[in-house]
Amino acid sequence: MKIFDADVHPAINSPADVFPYVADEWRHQFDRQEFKISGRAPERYPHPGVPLRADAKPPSGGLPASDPEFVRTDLLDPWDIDVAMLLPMQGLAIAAWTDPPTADAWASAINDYFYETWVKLDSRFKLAITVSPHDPPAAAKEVERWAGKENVISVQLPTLGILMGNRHYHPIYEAAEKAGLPISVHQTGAEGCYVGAPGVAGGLPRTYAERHAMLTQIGQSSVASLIFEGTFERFPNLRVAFIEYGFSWMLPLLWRLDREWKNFRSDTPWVQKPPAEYVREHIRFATQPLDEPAKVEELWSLLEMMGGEELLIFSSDYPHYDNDDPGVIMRKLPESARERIVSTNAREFFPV
Amino acid sequence: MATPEREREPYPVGAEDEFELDQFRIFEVNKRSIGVVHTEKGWFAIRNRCPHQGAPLCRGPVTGTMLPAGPDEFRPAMAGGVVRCPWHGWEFDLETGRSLFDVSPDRTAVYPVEIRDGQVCLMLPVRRARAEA
Repeated sequence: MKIFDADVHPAINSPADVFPYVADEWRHQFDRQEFKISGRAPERYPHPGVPLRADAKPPSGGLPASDPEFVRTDLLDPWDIDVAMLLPMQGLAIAAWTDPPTADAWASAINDYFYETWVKLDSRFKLAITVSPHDPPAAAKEVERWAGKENVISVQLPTLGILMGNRHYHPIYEAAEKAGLPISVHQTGAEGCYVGAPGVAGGLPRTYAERHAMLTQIGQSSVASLIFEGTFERFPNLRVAFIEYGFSWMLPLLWRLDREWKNFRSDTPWVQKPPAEYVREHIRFATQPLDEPAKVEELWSLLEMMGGEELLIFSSDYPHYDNDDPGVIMRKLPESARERIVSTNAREFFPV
Repeated sequence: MATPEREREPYPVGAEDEFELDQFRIFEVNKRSIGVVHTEKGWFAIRNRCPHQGAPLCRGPVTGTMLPAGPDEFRPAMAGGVVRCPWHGWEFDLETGRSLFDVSPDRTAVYPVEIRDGQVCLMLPVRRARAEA
């Protein structure tokens, strides 16, 4: 069975790698001693181990997943992955920034870099182009620049502390819908680290583990916001993939959203259907990190209750420390849903 | 853990001075990937496979751990006696192959190591070594 992996994180080793794709007059913005390309503030939430898999370092040197040749032999070939959606974390990092034109220039350069050096090398690599959330009209232009380009299959949107249904993002949704590209959202690392980025509910978590566990809340708030703002009525062909936000929270959330909708439907009459229906039609959730109840049958029950066979898409999160091994995950999925989750669902959702 | 009563024979993997402190060297032995390391606690050999998701365990750091402790208290222990998986960070006891504090119900195999005439030798059960020699 050919696998569709919806979450592979390619990396650059240095900002200079993308300089060929940055206009000369903008290069100085990234050529500064203190410029770093990570969304997380390591002083605030230091990782307790090593964030990138030590065993995924390419023999050529450099960061894990900085060498596309090695990713082919280390991930794609062994698992028969024929689509690996590239979600560059160093693009997501711009969620932490404050300067819109600089973020636009960086996103654009990252897009060109990974398209030229990865996608053109091997068309199994499909790119989610990064757009900046700081200046949606400019982001829409970036979407238009890539619309219709072969092997570009999604728009990666780093989210801010503005919920996803907010009209702030409308120009991006409009452009993505027109281009036929689903939006992919993924943690940026900036959560709880910077003003302007989303935080987790209630206050500041103390440690990395606590914060990391609660990032799922941002996925929940985003789903609720997209639905109650009527986003999918305004953009009826818009699709959104939630990557690495978990999914086991989804069923109780949908029960609750449906209940609130029944109670207060007339307050948001633009929500024309029960929330759960919008989710089925417009939203998919990536599997990693797959929750691991002690009995796998409990996971199967949950998948059955939430319609996981329809809503989930496989993701590895290679080469992050918390990635999921494709073989292990396949064995943990019920046989009846396996092919849909590791292959079919994503192919129906993304333009491949 | 190694069963002490089994008859074992040495399988040399290299000279003692070829090993750096806390740095695993990984060998293919009878189709098994095994990591060998010497630490401040001694010599260890452990199967290079995490029982959680199959990751190459010995590509993770040799370290110690923090014992379960009270709030705001750290109790470091087992320095040089733990390997931490390069994937999810699960810790395994180099001596027993068991996961620390029952994080995982599964263990990974460990093998006795002896130094003979300056050679580092895995002590493998005789039958397996002969069958696949």
